[in-house]
Amino acid sequence: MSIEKPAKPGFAPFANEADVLEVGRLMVENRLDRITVSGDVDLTADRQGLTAARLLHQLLGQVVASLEARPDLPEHLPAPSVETVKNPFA
Amino acid sequence: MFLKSKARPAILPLMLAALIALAGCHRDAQPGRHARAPAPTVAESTWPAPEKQSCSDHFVGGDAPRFTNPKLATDARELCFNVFTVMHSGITHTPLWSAEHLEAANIASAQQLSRENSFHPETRLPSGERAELADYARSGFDRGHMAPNGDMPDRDSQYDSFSLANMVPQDGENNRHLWAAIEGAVRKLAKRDGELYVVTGPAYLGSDLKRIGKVLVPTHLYKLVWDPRQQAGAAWFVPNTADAKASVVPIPELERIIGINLLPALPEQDKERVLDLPDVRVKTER
Repeated sequence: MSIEKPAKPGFAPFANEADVLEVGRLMVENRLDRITVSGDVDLTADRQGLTAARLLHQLLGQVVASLEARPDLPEHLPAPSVETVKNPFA
Repeated sequence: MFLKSKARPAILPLMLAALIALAGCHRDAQPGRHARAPAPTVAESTWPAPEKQSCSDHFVGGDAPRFTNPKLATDARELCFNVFTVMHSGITHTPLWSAEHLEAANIASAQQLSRENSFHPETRLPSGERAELADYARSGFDRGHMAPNGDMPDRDSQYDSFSLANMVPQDGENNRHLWAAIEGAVRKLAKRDGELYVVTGPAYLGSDLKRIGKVLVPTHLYKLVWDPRQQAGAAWFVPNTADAKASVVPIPELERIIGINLLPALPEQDKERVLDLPDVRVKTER
């Protein structure tokens, strides 16, 4: 295992639907209305663990700052808009 | 990993490139060249398979799945990537199947601690047919991989797997727990038996469907495995819901349900040999 990119400058929370950061088996996905964190990772008591922890800490710090900066933050997201259509294959 | 190996003699890549050009299927080719007519071609499987490069390597016997429900063939295009091939539908704006040949040696074990990737629209598809990131935005659905990122042996293929041509709208709970467990079980099986052919896709069943943006939400998902060593196969069939349970179904039954002959190279009696798939469950309380 090598650590190629300890810093994560590219991930701007809630800015796009594209960015993905994987740390161990943890996957962090950028969405416009959420940040999805799934999977798992060991933050081991070694240099690698520190690097991973800093990465996640920095990212979560950005998430918190971004949400705190929104004066109109709702209590809950509105329900997504999902349409119903006829099945074209039926 | 397989492509552009520097260890290979110089002549070999040229030969492989020529074979790929003849087969008319290469990941960098233009979209039109990937489009396979709904009626399957016969000649393809007669080419000697170049080492891991041709799309036909992703299929049992070199034969791509064939639609038995002709409605599925409308605006369907085959897209070849390094280690998987998808059949993309311009009707659903999703893949209808995604085929991989998993080999134990290529399932990465040690990867770098952190890596970046990005979901992206498939620019090889005409703009009217492909899904855009905006279709999924604020939809409440995950972008669910069909060929999983975790199967990908190299960075290029990992990037390929994040193409929206390899994604369907999937319930998040389902994607992150039950489906992730199925993907893990498949990799474990491939490591145990050396290789597996895997075909993954959505099912669109019933009279009505949900739609987000212009993307149709599948009612179910399937993952078929064919184990060449055991000469047997089976599939998991899973409703696209949060509380879904995985059913294991014989291949012929799955093919009838979805209207696709997924393994056309195999005779029916082979497909009836049911592989003992592990029972995949997720804890109901977490």
